[in-house]
Amino acid sequence: MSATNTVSTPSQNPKTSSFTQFFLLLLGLIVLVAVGGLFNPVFLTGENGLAILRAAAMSGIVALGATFITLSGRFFSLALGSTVMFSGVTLAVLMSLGLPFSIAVLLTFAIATVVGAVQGVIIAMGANPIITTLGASALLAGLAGLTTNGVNIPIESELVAWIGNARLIGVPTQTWAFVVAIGIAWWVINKTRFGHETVLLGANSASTRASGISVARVTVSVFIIASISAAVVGVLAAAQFSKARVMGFDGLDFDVVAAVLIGGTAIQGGRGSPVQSALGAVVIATIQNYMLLLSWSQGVRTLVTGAFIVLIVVGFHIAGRRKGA
Amino acid sequence: MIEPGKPTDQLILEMKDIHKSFGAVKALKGVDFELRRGEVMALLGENGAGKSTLVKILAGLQSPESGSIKIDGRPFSLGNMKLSYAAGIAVAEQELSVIGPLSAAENIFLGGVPFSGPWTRSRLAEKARGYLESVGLGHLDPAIPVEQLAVAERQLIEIARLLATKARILVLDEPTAALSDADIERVKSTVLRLAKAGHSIIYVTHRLGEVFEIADRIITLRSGRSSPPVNVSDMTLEKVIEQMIGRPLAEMFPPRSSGFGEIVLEMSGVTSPALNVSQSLRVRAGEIVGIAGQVGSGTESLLRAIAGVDVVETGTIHVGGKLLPAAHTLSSAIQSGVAYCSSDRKLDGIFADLKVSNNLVAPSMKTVSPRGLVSRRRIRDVTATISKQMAIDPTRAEYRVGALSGGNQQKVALGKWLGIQPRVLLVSEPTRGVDVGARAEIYGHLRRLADEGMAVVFASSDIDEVLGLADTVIPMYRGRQVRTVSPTKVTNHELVRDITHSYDEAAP
Amino acid sequence: MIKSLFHHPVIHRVALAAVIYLSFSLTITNFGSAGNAYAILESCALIGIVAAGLGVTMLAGELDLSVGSVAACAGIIAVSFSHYGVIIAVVAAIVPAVLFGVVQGIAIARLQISSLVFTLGTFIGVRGLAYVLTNERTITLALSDLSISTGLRARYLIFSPFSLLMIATLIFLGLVLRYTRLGREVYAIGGARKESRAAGVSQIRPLIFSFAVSAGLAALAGALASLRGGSATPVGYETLLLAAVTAALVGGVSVYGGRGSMAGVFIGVVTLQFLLAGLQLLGAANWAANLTTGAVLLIFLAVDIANGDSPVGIAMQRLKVRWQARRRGHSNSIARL
Repeated sequence: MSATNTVSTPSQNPKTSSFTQFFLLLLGLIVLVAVGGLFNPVFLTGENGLAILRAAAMSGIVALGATFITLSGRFFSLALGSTVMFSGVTLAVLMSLGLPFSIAVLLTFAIATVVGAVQGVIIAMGANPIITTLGASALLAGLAGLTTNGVNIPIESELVAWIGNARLIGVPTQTWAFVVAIGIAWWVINKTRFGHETVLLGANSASTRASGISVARVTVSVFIIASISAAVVGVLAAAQFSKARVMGFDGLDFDVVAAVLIGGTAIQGGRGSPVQSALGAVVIATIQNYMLLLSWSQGVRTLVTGAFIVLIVVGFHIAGRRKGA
Repeated sequence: MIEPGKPTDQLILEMKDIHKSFGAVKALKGVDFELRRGEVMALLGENGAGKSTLVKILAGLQSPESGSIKIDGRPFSLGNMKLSYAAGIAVAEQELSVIGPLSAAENIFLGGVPFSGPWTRSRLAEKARGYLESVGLGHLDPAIPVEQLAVAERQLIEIARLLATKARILVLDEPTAALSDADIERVKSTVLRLAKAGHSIIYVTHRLGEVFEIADRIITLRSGRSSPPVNVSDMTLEKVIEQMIGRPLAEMFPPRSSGFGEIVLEMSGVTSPALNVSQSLRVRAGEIVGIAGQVGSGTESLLRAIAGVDVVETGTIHVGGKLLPAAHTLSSAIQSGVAYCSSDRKLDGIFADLKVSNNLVAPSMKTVSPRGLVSRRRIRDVTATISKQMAIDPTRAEYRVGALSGGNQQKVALGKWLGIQPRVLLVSEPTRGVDVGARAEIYGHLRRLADEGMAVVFASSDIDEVLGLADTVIPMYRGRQVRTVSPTKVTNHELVRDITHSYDEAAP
Repeated sequence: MIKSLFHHPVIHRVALAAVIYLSFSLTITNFGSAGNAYAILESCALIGIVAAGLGVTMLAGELDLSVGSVAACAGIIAVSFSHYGVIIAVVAAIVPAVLFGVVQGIAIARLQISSLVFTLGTFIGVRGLAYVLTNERTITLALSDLSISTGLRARYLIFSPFSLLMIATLIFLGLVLRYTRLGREVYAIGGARKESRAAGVSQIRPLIFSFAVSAGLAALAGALASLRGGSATPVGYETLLLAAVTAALVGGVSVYGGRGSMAGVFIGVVTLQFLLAGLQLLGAANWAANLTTGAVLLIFLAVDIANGDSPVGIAMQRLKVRWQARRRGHSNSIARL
């Protein structure tokens, strides 16, 4: 069957539009903040802003790593919440065995790398990413339960407590970590060969393979990156309360996916960036903060978040189709 | 009403002055087509001539921009599948659309064909039997899952499905393209039987020999225009080929070169899962080898074996004197300097959603990223160099490749390999989906690359292309290389015979 | 006929279930008792019904992530309406769910959007709805309605109304999938999406059907389970998705679509529950269930991949050829004809 020629009108906007998407989202955020501030001046205070950023930081840092998975065309991972929890537990257990913080943290990251790599290998072999990570999530939860027997593990360390609660120039450590992570993620995607290969893979996996790039290597790598970003948050979360909690991260996976999708990274991959996802996390945190200020109940807040996700995703999808993909 | 017997003079389908464009490309420039009741009309034409577009219009997948259509003498419009169904048209496309896990009977009835009552095995079987018999599959158990059937039988089931829609006009697009000789016989006899039973059939094919056995009349498409219908009885094979080619070939192809260097590519005794007959090939630097053959004749499989896409089971391949490892991978082939472009650039030749520059550097990621860090300067340099070499407009470097014309897309698909400075360039269907103007340009580029020392091997189902461009011609038929010959010593007609094996007697 | 029976994938899985059952009955006292059989079937009921619905979406080549949230809402509605009797309570829960499923199906079909992405949004949104409906509290059956709860726990031999309903659902759905045009369309779009579209098979109809069934059955299961338990909470059924997917996979429903059956789902649920029940009776802690389910999921996922086309197969082929080449002689292998 001879191929029909594609449309060849250069007047159709041919440049990739991720820049415009980012700006639109930023604009939307600014408008939201301005309008919200009009009705509720508390919204605009610095303290509130910092609270938003701190809340955004946790899901945002994970979203940075998760964006690599989505960009590469592997949809998303449902194991990141469990990885956060598992990393906190690992840190706490290692430190309770007497290891100093530095070694314990390195080991935690090493273990997170293995966890991510295993999932990446299975998925590189052809498994469905959603279901694989669903299984991995249960496995990690089980392993954590095995080690802790369901009990939160305390961490007795001044250093750790400081990391979790300090403020440098008035800004909490988590927010600093967020900013640094955004910088690192931006650098990796734009400046490294691996970052470019990730985008290629999501744009067209067959062409990527045909160009001699190892699809398996890139797949495993993106899952490792996501795992490590989850480990970072796990350490920060444990540090914040000086204990590793076994529960409490269930909703994280969905907050992360929401951040990625709202940030404008396409679900099929090849378009978007981690910075956009960070912005998406901030947008969600802003909206949720505002709903809290309005004293809306948790139920309503969750409902609105879910509806928002559906609307944005459907909106992007329709807009993408209208461009004549 | 289906009336058995000889074809009448009454036109069941009449299309006049049909125009259809896709963006800047005019696929049909005022095509006339007609079909008499009870006849088999062969629709011929090369790749890109417009056959596919015409079939899609009949199927309702595309709508014509202008022109008139009459069914049984009454004006009718076509443009979506419902209209085609109402017109009594049913189309079996080139790619089989049978659904594997379902049974033969289910496949016949599942596509919108009315079927009342419970969907039980016995009722399905009972109703399916009649249709299965019409296509010569009366002996088949209607409950058998279609994935267990041979390709020829699946093709026949597809035809049975058409019959079940009670269509009066059947369009068969390359029904025998992927079949072997024995299977072709079954399909051909079925078509003849259907025609005798009074169905009106449009038969699209590349296999010219079949035309003389099955069809009553012929309409040929050439560059978007149609020739008036002729009776098969008034034609010979030579005349048919003449009708298909007839355009100025002189300006299309660059002059051949005379001096070749040392042997760059040497393969010997190679087989793969798709190639049962062992293959050998020798290509020198500066030489362009053209492998001619129809779809499924093994031409692309040959290239895929060299490229490492298919697993090489036996034999050896040397590139630039060095032996490739056994069952080499695509990566090791690329590292040894072998570049491969498949026939479907949309599938794996380009990144449609990414910029031209991203596309052009994809195989050379290691080169543009020393120590793992991407150097924008190097990307710019590589992009500029390749753009200059392939005459890609540098102002288009930031454009999405998917927005470019077919010709430009193909230049990107080919050009990206220049970044790794390959010794061997393998291309399957180098000008598929490329209009005539851009084709000449691509031929020029391929010749220039060869002159600069590359060994170029291309596979094509377009005989003119092979004869015009190649220094050495190798026709293939059903996985076997028929011969190796210089293009100056063979005629177009002989090559067509080679690749369709339409000899009067079995050739040695 | 016997030979084809032998190779039937369901037979393999029945054998696996039987092996697990036997091993546990030999090592744990009372595992083989009628009482235990009742308990196991009872625990199967919830997951089984949900897995049946979820399985239909998988057969169609999609996935409905919102089943847990729908079950939670259904449970809340059912308990709220328990005053009017079981039937009305359950119907009141199912009707909106089916409507919701229809809307989901239409949206996914018309927009041609990935069901994963869409149901992710509804997963969150419907969960939020659950919170809103109960004002974040847990609601319980009124004392006067407790008879409903006990009624649902009634025991007939080894069955309860709930588990009987599960079996009836599976049989009915199995028949629909096998003997109606709609059912065959589900398999067609699941196993051969491109080909079915080219063949003119309606894409919208089977998609709407799949998501309506998925939501409806999730609601049925959630409603009955909450009534049986006597209470409903907005945080309920959070592990339901995992359990249902695992059960479907173990039962042979392929993630890639087009393969599997309701009989398989039944076997899958039962096998999983054998495993979990056995572990529990052996004294394993709560987290063991999570660990086991996760591990089982990954194992059967691997089996699913192996059955489909994958890069693994091609890599294996290459290794085989290399190994054979090495055996035959050295790197300069002789040209063959």
